[in-house]
Amino acid sequence: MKKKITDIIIHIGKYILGIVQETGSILMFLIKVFSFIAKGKVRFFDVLRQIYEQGFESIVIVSITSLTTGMVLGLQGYFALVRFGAKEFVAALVAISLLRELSPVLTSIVFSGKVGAKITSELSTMNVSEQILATRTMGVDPLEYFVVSRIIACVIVLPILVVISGVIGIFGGYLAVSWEGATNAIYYFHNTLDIVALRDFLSGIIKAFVFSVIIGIICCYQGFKAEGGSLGVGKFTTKAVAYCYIMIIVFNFVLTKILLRLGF
Amino acid sequence: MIETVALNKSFNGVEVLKDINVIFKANEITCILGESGSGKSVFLQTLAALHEPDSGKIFINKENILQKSEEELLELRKKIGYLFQSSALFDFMNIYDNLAFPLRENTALSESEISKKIKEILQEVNLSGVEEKFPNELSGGMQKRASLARSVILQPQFLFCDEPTSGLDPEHARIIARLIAKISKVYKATTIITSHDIPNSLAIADRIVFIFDGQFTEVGAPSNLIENQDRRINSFLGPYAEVKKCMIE
Ligand SMILES: Nc1ncnc2c1ncn2[C@@H]1O[C@H](COP(=O)(O)OP(=O)(O)OP(=O)(O)O)[C@@H](O)[C@H]1O
Ligand SMILES: [Mg+2]
Repeated sequence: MKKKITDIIIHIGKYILGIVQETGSILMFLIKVFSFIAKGKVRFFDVLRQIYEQGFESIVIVSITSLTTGMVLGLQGYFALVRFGAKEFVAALVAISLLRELSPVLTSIVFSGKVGAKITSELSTMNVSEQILATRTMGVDPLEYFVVSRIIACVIVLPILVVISGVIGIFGGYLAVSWEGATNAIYYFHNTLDIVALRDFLSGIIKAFVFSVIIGIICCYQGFKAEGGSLGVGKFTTKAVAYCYIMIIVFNFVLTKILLRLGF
Repeated sequence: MIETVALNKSFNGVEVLKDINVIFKANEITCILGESGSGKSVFLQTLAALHEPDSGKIFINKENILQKSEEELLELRKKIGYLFQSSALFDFMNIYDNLAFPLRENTALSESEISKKIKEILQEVNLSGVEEKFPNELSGGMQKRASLARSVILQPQFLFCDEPTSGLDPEHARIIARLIAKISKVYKATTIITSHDIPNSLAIADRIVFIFDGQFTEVGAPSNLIENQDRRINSFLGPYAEVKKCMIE
């Protein structure tokens, strides 16, 4: 019995130690990436190509997600607010919940499933087929060559997608409410612009910015850590996406708390 | 010259390289023969400082490379041509860009000079005309040759080849082995080849080393094998043990 308890304690201790080590090496990874950027070791054309690929790949699915989310939000909001005789607030409800919460979170989740998974599977395939080692034997740091451009592209693309998502979502909200015959365009968008402040916009963009760094780092890191052939590629890719989801949800709460405190 | 002193390397508590002391002389071709899983790839990768050993020293041109930073190592590795067991060509680039990569990264050559060099080297490895093809459009043997071309395009002082002939038919295996021997002599490179391809290794090696279970057994010149009665070596040579005399002669 006693032995069992010490076994459990040792097991938990090892687990926690593992998490601490992992966090440490992810932070080291992040620092190395930033130091390359600080030294100006950025491959401009690679960044452009990544921006193009990442944006192109996710724009359709982000648009569909945002449009339908906005529509659902409009409908639900309208019928809920009608009960309180406050239906003129539906535009505000849609805009603020989209800009502050739903657009950044949903877009980031879609982005990690689409772009993040692609990053990890590409890098881990290259890793298990020794291409990343080969880069080092040719005098090039694979972090500088493969990771820097991907992360910079994430940081540029995701905030833009979040803005687009917000705009499309608001439009979706309008569509849903106007189908109910409950509003007209001028009134709805006037209401929206009236209520939405710059800080709502900024709050979403700041979140997107943080999420983009999280997704970029996690997905590149897992790709570099991958081992175990093609099975490993699958394993590390799903792991990367799962970590992204968890981190996005957790950081969203933390960021919301901080941003509200700061007056955003 | 490359020298290792008491080199040890383990993965998750399993010892893969055990106390390896060996010298590779300049302009010599050394073949490391050993069965699957004996630690050949790990040894070569450790020698190029791609893995950190647990203990020991590695001297390349008298400098202990384990004391170097990754930045200095990147510099050093430009002098090492490394042919990976899996070819390791970049699969998102065509063959031309693959071969141009080390040149673009490490030299100031103009694009027309690069193109000329690539043409020459592809001719050398008998692959003219594949510039526009992607690695997955080539056969395994062609990939090996393209990869060999990439690893020697910077005219390395050291050439490491990890199982250059595995997975090839006997004819292509022979062609690749001869090619490596030729390139090695032309560039006067210190060459280390790992393999379990006995006939081709005996044909091109100046020196033979066996690796059993992470430990080295030196034989010296291939001709020394004729007299050698080591049980493990003879069992590794299998049917070749009977005919080694006529093979070497
Ligand atoms: N990254 C790693 N993590 C854990 N163990 C490893 C790793 N790389 C190699 N090993 C182990 O080290 C041992 C030697 O592997 P190595 O790849 O050097 O063999 P090899 O002699 O090259 O075999 P082959 O002829 O099949 O290529 C094997 O038992 C392998 O399981
Ligand atoms: Mg091997």
